[in-house]
Amino acid sequence: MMNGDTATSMLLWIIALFALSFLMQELQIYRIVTEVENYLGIIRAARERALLAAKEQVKRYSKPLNPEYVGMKIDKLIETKIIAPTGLDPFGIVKKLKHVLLIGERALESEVASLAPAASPHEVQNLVVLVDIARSLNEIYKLLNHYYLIARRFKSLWLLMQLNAAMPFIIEEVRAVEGAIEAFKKSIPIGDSAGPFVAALLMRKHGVQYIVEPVKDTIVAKLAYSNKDVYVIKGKGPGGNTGHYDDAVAWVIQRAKPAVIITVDAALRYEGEVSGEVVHGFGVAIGGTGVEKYGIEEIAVKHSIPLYAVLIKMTEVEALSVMTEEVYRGVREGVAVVEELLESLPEGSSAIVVGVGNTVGVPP
Amino acid sequence: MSKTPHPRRWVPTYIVLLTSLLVLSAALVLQYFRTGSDSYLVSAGFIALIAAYTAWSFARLITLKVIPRSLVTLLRCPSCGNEVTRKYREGDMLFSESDQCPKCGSKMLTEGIFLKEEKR
Repeated sequence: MMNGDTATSMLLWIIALFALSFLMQELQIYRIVTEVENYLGIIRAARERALLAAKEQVKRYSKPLNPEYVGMKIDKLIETKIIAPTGLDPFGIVKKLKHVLLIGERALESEVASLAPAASPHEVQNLVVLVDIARSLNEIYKLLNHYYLIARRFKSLWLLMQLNAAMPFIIEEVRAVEGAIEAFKKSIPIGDSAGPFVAALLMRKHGVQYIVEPVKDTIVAKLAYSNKDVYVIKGKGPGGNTGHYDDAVAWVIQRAKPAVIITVDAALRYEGEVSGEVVHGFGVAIGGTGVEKYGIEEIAVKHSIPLYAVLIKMTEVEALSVMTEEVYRGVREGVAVVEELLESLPEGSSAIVVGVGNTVGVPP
Repeated sequence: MSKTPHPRRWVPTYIVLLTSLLVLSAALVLQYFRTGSDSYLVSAGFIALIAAYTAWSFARLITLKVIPRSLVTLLRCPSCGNEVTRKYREGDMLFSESDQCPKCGSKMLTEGIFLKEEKR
């Protein structure tokens, strides 16, 4: 038999344990909320820095326009959205997507050009990328802030936990995107410029018979290569753009019958791998929306052209930040690997080499 | 280049905090021996736990490796093939002519602009 004191003490313990179970959950929510808020603070600061850099850079070329007006226009530009076409009927969706992306790209470029009348075409391209970086960071921040506010409103521990778990990866991406600002301000190559850099080095090393710009911001150079017709395709540069490789490949196909299409691109490396390592691949090495990859694959299948890829490995941060020495060494090695592939082709044959990536700081 | 603040800037803060906690813990143990009151010992144990956590965080911080990198320009002489790496200067552009070659006096070409690990 329990006496009165023991029973009261036990009851108090049970009540305390019961209350504690709720308190612990509240404390856990509070801890996660604080962590997520800290991460959001980092992303918000990155967005502000990117926006400030874009505004400062555009204002350098915006005379005689009112700086306040320019700032206000950039605030509007970073809010613009690209609406993907409907996938209800997927037939022809790639063409629709290409159309929408092209319109968005041209509209942004003409808007930025009108805000920076004193900027040269390649400076306008770098300004466009800076505005695009601010737009991406703004989008990331707004989306995460939305999920955070929803989770807080409904006190959803599971939503907060998911958000908290994803945050370190998102922060890594944000840091990578932010790392590109410095490169575009100074117009120097980033890790992703490895592909166009290989293309430019091939052009310098072997000399060119002619260079044409059959597609906007994309150049095709015919190399003075011994007994082979080698066409090199890259973004025009040194402004920050990626070019339109599928249209340029189509242009070459109308004039030659290539034995091979070689795409050279930056590839994300796994943890534990070495940056700057060069590996071979089969297929089209182009990231992004997949529109250009689709275009080149279509051409290759139609004409039965083998697709080779040369990949230069790097981390996501390295791909978007100023080029590192390891990646640069990879570029030099990439040139040798492409030359080896070209050497293995029979005499008199032709080939297309596509330098894929942002061509910032890499002139033709 | 804008640099991310180095995490080791927190080292002095950690040293001050850790020393204070250890001194406080030792003082509480001393008080326990003087007075024999258990509450001093409990408090000393609690402070020692915080000190252990601080020491663990400090150990993680000082073993953290951050490799400093600087932006450099690689120049190559088209005549003699001599390669020179120097600090990046505003206006450096790939494949443009730059400084004179220290060996043959020809104009050198900019072959690369990249981040290089700083030698310590």
